[in-house]
Formats: sequence, C-alpha cells, structure tokens
Amino acid sequence: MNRLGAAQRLTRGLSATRSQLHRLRAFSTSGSCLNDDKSTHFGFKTVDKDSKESLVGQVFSSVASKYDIMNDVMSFGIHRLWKDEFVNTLNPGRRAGSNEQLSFLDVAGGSGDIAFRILDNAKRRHGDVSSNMTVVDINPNMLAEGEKRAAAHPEYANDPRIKFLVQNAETLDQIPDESQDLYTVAFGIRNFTNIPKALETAHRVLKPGGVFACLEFSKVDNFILDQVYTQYSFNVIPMMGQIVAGDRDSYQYLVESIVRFPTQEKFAQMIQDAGFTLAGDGYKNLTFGVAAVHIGVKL
Amino acid sequence: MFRTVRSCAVALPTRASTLRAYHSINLINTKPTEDYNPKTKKLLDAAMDLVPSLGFTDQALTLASRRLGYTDTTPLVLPEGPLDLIVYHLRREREKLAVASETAPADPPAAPTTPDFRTKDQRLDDACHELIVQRLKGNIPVIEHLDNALALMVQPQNMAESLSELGALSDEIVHQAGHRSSDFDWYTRRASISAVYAASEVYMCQDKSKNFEDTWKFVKSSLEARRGLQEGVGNVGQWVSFQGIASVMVIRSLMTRL
Ligand SMILES: C[S@@+](CC[C@H](N)C(=O)[O-])C[C@H]1O[C@@H](n2cnc3c(N)ncnc32)[C@H](O)[C@@H]1O
Repeated sequence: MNRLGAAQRLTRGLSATRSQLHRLRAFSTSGSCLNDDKSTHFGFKTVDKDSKESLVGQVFSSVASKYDIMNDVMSFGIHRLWKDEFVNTLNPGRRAGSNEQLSFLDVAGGSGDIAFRILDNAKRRHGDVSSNMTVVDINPNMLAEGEKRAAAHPEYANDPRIKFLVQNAETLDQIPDESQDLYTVAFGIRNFTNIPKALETAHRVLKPGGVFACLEFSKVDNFILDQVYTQYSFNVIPMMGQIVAGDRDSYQYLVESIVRFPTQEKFAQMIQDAGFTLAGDGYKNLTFGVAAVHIGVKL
Repeated sequence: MFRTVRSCAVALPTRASTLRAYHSINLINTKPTEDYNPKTKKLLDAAMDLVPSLGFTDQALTLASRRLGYTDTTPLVLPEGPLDLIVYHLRREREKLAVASETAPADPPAAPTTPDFRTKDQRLDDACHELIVQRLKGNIPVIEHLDNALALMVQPQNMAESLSELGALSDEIVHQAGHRSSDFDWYTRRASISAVYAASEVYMCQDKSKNFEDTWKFVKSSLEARRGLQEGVGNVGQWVSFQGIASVMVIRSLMTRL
C-alpha cells in the first residue's frame, strides 16, 4: 500500500511544512484568547488500567472545546490535510447501480470532523445523499461538541441521516452485528484501554466486505526526522499545551500515548489478528510516518 | 520449488534439471498469484471475469464485490484499484504460460526421423516466438482495454512495477525456451525479449487483422531484426544497456501516443 514514490512523498512533506508554518503563525495570534478551561491533573507515569478510561474521559472533557487546537499542536497544524487524505483514500459513497444505503460508523468521532467529510465525499464524488452516518464517542462532552457542530452545519443541521451515540469502542453495545459498511477511527484508537478488543468489536459490527480504517499518529520512518519529532513532541508540545490551552498535563499524556502506540507493522499485524485482510501492506504513511492510515477488510 | 518439478516442453535435453534449479533460486522464486491472500485473489478473479466488458476499472471491482456478497467499500482491499487489477492480469497470464508448459505432453521419445537442421540459436528463437505469441493470446479477451491498461502502466509512478513484471515475463519466456546458460548471452536474450514483447503488445492494441495475424508476423520480424543486431554488437555491456533503454523507449513512446 505504501507505494507513494519518493518524489511524491517529498512534495507532501514540503507542502506539510508550508502549512505547518502557516498554522503556527495562526496560533500565535489566536492562542491567548482560548485559555479558558481548568486543567486536569493526574499522574501519568504509569496509569493503572482500570482508571485509564476515566482519566481519558477527563483529558478529553477538559479539552473538548479546544480539541482542534490540540490536534493542531500535535500535528503541526496539518491534521486537516491528513483527514482530507484519509477520507479521500477511503472515497466512501454508494457506487452506481445499487439502491442500498451504506452505513458509516465513525468511532471516537467527537467533533464530527470525519463524519462530515465522509458525507461530503459521498455526495460530491458519488452523488450519494442517502447513506447513513453514526458518530460514537465515549465522552458525552466530545459528542455534544459534534452535535453542536452538526446543528450549525449548513448541510447537516437536522439531517436525520446523522446519529450521535455515547458508546465505548470496546463494546459498541448499541451497534448490531454485521451492520456497518465502513468503520473509521481518527486519532482515537491509541486512547482505547484494550485495543485488540476494540478491533474485535470493529470486526463484529462490520458487514462481510466491510472496511476498518484508522488514522493515527505513528512512527516516523526517517531516523533524523524521528529525532526531530521526538524532541518536538516531548519538549514543545506540552509547552504549547500550556501556552495555548493552559493544560500541560493533558498534552503530556497525549504525547506519551503516541510514543506508546505500536509501529505501523505491529499495528497492521494486530488488525490482521482481529480477522481482517490487510489492504496491501496494511498501511500508508502520511508526512514521513508522523501519521499513518491503516486499512483492513472483513473478507 | 515450482520450477524444479516442472517438465519443460521445449527444454534442451542436456543439464536441464540442474540449471532449472539455479533459475528457481535466483530469478523467479514464487508462482506469482500464490502471493495473494486467497480471498483477495477470489475478488480479483471475479473482477477479471468482468474486465472484458467493463475494463480494468473500479466499476469491475465494485461489481465483483457485490457478486461475492460483499459491499461497495470492499475494493479498498486493493489500494491501487485498477492498477492492482492490471498487475494481477499480468501475473496470472505469466503463470498460465508456466502451467501450460508444465502440463504439455512430454516430447515424443527420441527417434529422430527428420533431422533438425536448425542451430541452437534458431531453435531458441523459434521457441521464444512461440511463447511470446502464446502470452499475447492471453490479451485477446481484454484487448479492447489493453491500451488503457498500458497507459496506466507507463505512468511514471507505475513504471518500476511495470518493468519488473516485463522482466519477470522475459525470464519466464527465455527459461522456457530452453536457454540454460547463465552467461551474458542470457541477459542479452532476456533484454531483447522484453523489447520485442513490449513493442508487440503495443502493436497488438491497434492490430485490426484477422486473428491478429499481423501481430504474430510483427513478433517474428522483430525477433529476427533483434537477432541481426545481436550478432553485430561486439560489446556485451553496450548491448545490454542499449536493450534496456530500448524497452523503456518503446513504453515511453506509447505514453506520448495515448
Ligand atoms: C483526539 S480525539 C479525536 C476526535 C476526532 N476523531 C478527530 O479526529 O478530530 C479522541 C477521541 O477518542 C475518544 N475516546 C477515547 N477512548 C474511547 C473509547 N474507549 N471509546 C470511544 N471513544 C473513545 C475521546 O473521547 C475523544 O473524543
């Protein structure tokens, strides 16, 4: 799957840098007025497994309204490009010659960011305006944010095709077996307590032929860049968290969760272990592996 | 492993089995479509059934998914879409060539009535001609879509994969033709088969003659022309690089034409 030519990767890397500068500039002007939430405090050297779920809840509650900024800091501001690329790659939407509505499920979908992009893609590229979208998140505050954005959206305000549900990705107890055509999870899976269980659940809710697709921070595939990004994430990100969101600890947690997340190959193996057939190698790196898209199909 | 068990219909009788083992280790090591996940392969086979009517397209993959009881998102299992389908076609046809030689009846026991006056080189050339034609016949069911497939294959980002498939096909042909030496002659022959095959495939795309008779003639005359050239070139290294460039040029010219 990772068949991007070196040149193409380079262009992508360069355009990323340009937009990164742009974003960071945007930050320095708008950052100060966004420091309104109380920060969460918890020790995060090693968090015991039982409490992780509630701690994760706290992290995202405390940053729910500013999650965009967080993603900007973590990704040099290019998470929107990655999300575009993610949805572009998946190219969701019902193809000609069928009347069956597709069911899309966006897990850890908080903001609705991915959900809107999927519906946009279906409409714009396939004229599909009837497929359905379910957005789930474990955190009601994050979900409320998504609902708020949907209500304010020019196209999706009061659209009965979009549903918001509070659900734990590890169980998805309100999602029936073999009911979904596409399962997406963007920047969510590394926060799950039990990732293999979430993958099994993804397999359960997908129809035969259904697709599991994940966008997540990953391991940089270039030694020097890796050093740079590691320095950046350990030193700069928590500091930026403090400056733009008044929340150093939450940002520190996010950095550590990224570092702990398995490599591309290991995660592809986990997807396969859950019963999926990998698309090609199973992953595609974005921006030298700072993020990666993983795809598995339930064949 | 695959290679060592096969009885080669056109193989030269001497030292064939030991040298076949050599090729199996160094040149092509797997039966091409064995590399695919069986379920992905099933999807590709179903899509190939639709290619004669729908071409090497996303549409063929979507319809194949539906036929197998899957859904519209399923073709994502093939990240390159149509290109994956084309590459599969190339591998499957190359594999058929190998299987055909494996199942072909063994040569009749030696009781040579009419002596074969051909030189060793001539016999090799004839065998190569035969095999190229046989492989090209594999394109007939998809002939209407072959130009689109070639256009996609010669895109710069797909070039490396296309050339490696072309190389593997030439290996297969040269090997099956019974060429058993590993000297420079083998490399020149392989390069010239690549060039002839690529040119013939392009020719075939626009051939309107009955049963592609013109294409078969084109293959023959191209091989003969190459042969003349081969004998005239003293420096082997020079010849190899020339041939390498020639086969790329053939494909490049195609790219500008389409
Ligand atoms: C960084 S946000 C990503 C939001 C959105 N997908 C995006 O790309 O912008 C991570 C989300 O994962 C959610 N999350 C964490 N653990 C979860 C779980 N076990 N089940 C469902 N959602 C979970 C959090 O509530 C949070 O909304």
